[in-house]
Amino acid sequence: MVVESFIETIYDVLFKPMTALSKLAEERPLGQAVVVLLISLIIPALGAYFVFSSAGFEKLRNFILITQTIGYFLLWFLGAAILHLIAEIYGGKGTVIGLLVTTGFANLPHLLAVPFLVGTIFIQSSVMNGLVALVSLVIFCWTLTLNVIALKEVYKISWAKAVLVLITPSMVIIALLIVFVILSLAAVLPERLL
Amino acid sequence: MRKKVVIIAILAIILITLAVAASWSVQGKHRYGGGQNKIAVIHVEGVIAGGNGGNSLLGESGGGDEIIRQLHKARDDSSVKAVILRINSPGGSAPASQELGAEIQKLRKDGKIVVASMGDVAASGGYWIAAVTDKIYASPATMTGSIGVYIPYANWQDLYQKIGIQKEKIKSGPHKDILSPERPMTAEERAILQGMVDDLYNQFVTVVAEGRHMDVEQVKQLADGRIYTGSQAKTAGLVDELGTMYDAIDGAAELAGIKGKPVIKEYGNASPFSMLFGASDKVNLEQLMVRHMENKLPITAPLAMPVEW
Repeated sequence: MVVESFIETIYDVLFKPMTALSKLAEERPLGQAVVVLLISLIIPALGAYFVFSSAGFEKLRNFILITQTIGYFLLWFLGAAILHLIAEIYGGKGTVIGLLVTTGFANLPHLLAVPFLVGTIFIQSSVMNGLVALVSLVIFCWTLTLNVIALKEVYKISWAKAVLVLITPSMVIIALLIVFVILSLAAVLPERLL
Repeated sequence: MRKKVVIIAILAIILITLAVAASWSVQGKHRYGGGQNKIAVIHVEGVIAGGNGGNSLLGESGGGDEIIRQLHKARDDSSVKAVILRINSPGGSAPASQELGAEIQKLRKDGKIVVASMGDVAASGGYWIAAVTDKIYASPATMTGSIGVYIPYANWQDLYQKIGIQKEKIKSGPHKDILSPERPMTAEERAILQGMVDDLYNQFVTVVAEGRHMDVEQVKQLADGRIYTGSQAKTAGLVDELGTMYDAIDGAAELAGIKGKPVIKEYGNASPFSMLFGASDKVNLEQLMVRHMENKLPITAPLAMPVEW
């Protein structure tokens, strides 16, 4: 019964995300979210591992495996903390557990990339590479949309605010990089050029 | 019920593809059909000199020692069956060329095939190291040859006099300041240096004769210091085949008995970090000349460079 309900939740997150993520934000099944997240990270990471093995990139495959699993898992925790803080600054009211649960489930589309990714081992053509790139882009947008819905449902904020919460960390990083580049150039360039 | 079927079907597809990929990987099959049969590509770029080459924030790069490290890595990697030496060098110091040549010969003794692929230029020291490989590929327009040795010397005495500089040295022996640019070379010093050049030249000629399976006298006829185009070198027997690096890779695969398209493992590629912070992989020619001026590098031979560098 529990398994059936779990499978139904997975289906709903993929195909009826508004209802599913709203329900998850209320019920907050953290254990299920951790299982889903681990599956969504480990299976694509293994797919990438085999692809890189077949291409002869032994060092890169280990790096990918570690960053895709442990790195992403840590990022999930840290990301939730940061997004929770930003959402509250923007006036949202919700729990970080709700955010962890919904963003955990939001990684599910990554699984769908695996058959295409693994397909590149057996079919080597520019069409296949293009298809993988297209599928990756679709999955990236899909995951991003699920994250926006998750923020909207957990903090009961508008679409615009949810998007703003999600892009604020990236904007801060870009702003810091620009400042870093300007300061580095100021330090390196001779005075007469400034 | 429908939801369950859809999710189970999706999961089944994912797990089946993953299992097939895993079994493919466990069997050691390779996307390019080469399995464990790799061909290493090692680049010999710029002036050949001993040492580590350039220093950078994140490590050192370039120089003969770095190429030797790459040769050792290729030797220790059991999956590497052949090594391509991509040479794009006008030459360099005799000891560094000799050291590289010796390491290449050790690599061949360890059962690896070594094939030289000449780029724009593979002259003098660049040819020295090519001569000890199993097979040499060059493009018809490659500049090669320049088999010979010289020790550069400049006499700046008149210039020093004009600008009022008088340099003096307290030396332990009459020849301690040999090649000193502040005075003319004596006949005795010239004879000493000529002896050295002759000895180095004979070493070079012997390496070429042994490597190319040619008679020493035959090599000496070709080794008057002149440069050859790739096609001239092929006619003279200094090069085996005319072709690109990819022809050399195919040739190396054939010699190593690799069937299908070989897997290429490139050594010494600059990392994004070293590209940002590192020194050039190529040995700095100015640095080399300054070292020569400082008398730290008394022999810069075989060094074949155009006058306008």
